[in-house]
Amino acid sequence: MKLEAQNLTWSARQLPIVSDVSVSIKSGEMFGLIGPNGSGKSTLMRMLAGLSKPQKGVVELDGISLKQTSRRQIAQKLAFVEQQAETQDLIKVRDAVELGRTCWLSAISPWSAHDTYIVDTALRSVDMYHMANRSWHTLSGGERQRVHIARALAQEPSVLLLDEPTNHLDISYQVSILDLVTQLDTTTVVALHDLNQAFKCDRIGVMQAGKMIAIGTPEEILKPKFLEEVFGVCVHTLIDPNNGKTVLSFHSVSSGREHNMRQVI
Amino acid sequence: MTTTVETEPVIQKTFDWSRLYWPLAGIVAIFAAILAGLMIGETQISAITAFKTIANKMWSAGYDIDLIDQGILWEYRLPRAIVAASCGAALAVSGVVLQALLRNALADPYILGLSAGASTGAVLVSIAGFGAGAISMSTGAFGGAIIAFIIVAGLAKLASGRGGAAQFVLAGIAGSQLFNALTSFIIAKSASADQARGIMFWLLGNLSGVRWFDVVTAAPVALLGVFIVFLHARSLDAFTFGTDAAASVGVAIRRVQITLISITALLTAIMVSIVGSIGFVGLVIPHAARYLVGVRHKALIPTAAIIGAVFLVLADIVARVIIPGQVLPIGVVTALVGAPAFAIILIKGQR
Ligand SMILES: Nc1ncnc2c1ncn2[C@@H]1O[C@H](COP(=O)(O)OP(=O)(O)O)[C@@H](O)[C@H]1O
Ligand SMILES: [Mg+2]
Repeated sequence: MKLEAQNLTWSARQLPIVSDVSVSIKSGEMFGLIGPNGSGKSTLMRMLAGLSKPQKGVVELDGISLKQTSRRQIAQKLAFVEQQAETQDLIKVRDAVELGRTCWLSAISPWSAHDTYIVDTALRSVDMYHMANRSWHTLSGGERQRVHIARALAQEPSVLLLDEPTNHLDISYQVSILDLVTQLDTTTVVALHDLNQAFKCDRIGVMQAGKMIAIGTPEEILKPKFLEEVFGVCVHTLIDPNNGKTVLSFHSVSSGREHNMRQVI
Repeated sequence: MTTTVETEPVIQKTFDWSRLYWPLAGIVAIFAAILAGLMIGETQISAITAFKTIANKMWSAGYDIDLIDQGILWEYRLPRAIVAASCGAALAVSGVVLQALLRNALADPYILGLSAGASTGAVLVSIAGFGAGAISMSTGAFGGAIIAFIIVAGLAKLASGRGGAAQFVLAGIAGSQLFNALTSFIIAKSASADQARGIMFWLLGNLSGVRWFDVVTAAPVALLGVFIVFLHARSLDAFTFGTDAAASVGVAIRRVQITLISITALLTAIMVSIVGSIGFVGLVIPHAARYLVGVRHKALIPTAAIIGAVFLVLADIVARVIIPGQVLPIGVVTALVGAPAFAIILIKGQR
């Protein structure tokens, strides 16, 4: 399913947070979103998910505007994992994942064995099946993140939006969750803070101060000089001797530049 | 992360009769409480007499029983017990709804000022003569409850920018104070000394004036309200991780919020206009129900309704018998039980 955004604009108290962002994400594509903290990635994702209404511009799923789609229909096509979603309720892991089935159920089609099967499969795919009966408040940050992803998978979405999904995960789950997402046939938009993870994407969009300043393949985008401009750090590329792939390495900016910055401030 | 390929199991559908045990137990509990409400009081009346009276009245069975007993049972105690049960169920379910939608364990119609607003509306109509007889007391109470909620929600939003959880309760306290002051003002200005005494007693929750006429309003409204809320059980579950998460899984959040908060306001308003404002039921009963059946609303809503109904019928019995020759306002009894329970919830919440 194709996800298209045209001229998305969102501001808070006259301050532009996202300005005039257009992007077209192809069916089955894995699209990475990178950019410094506060560059507007989450705000853009919320608009793509239909959770906040753009003040200008439209979001279209396969050519149909989200404005003309009910919340239920959107949820059947598109699942969103927020950067943070917490609860005080004494809810169980399985309960949380079952919430993903909400968009498929109604008074006429109540819970069935099929739904249980989907939930089990989603739990297994994030390796949380053995913890299905654990209480939410006993889980670690990474385990909670995996449950949220399982909830999104239980929606059986064609489009998956993940806002920094690897944030709380230890290294093995960072790798496995990203591999899982890469293998899915769904169209995926994923905000990433680890630039090395962005190599796994088909294309990458770069956000800076609310604008999408570049879109391209990892090879085009993840260039030291460009990243230095966007993130303000020194970037070197290394070659992984095991598989010959490029790896990025980061250092703080040279003391000379730091000195300049102090003078500016 | 293993991806073992599994085929979907085929499960034969058979009806599981054990699923009926709990609903049946609940209904039995409500009937038992109502029976206790019929038997216990200034004069004790036996269960046999109670059953015979009901048979006489409903099927003209023609049993020979004391006419005074029959009168007390049928004209006073039975309508009173049914209204108490309806009121308890309505308030408890209102608490469940508000706690789920506002993501706040301390939300209930009383704390959020709905009851206070309903009281003001009711007093405005009944004492100050607002609407010149064209508006019923229940309508006035409903209007008051809705206005109170809008003011409280607006205040909470202004205070936090996003209608945060703690702000809602603080705004509710401010709203309650405002509406209680308005109520007192109206009473002081318009009521005679006798009226004022009666009204003050009624405001604390009083079932003494309840007749069959009130049952006809309270019982259907409570049943219908609880049923509509029950139909939204899945949507209420979806609010567990907040409104955004609810929207993400396909809940039309605006429509659900407006529908359910209106129902809560209606339930509260009808109950307040009949029995006055009764505190703590909406707050404490949902927690008791969660303790028994967990947080999923499909089980929580009926459980809270049943416990609320039983609790208020029993509270009314206590209110009638605890001081011989005198009836305590039921709100005093629920507060005596509810306040310590509220303290426990507060302390546990800080865990
Ligand atoms: N509702 C809001 N009101 C005011 N400012 C906001 C709001 N939402 C986000 N912002 C601001 O917009 C900027 C971008 O935020 P965000 O989209 O979360 O960035 P990112 O996800 O890239 O870190 C931040 O500076 C944040 O403080
Ligand atoms: Mg973010």
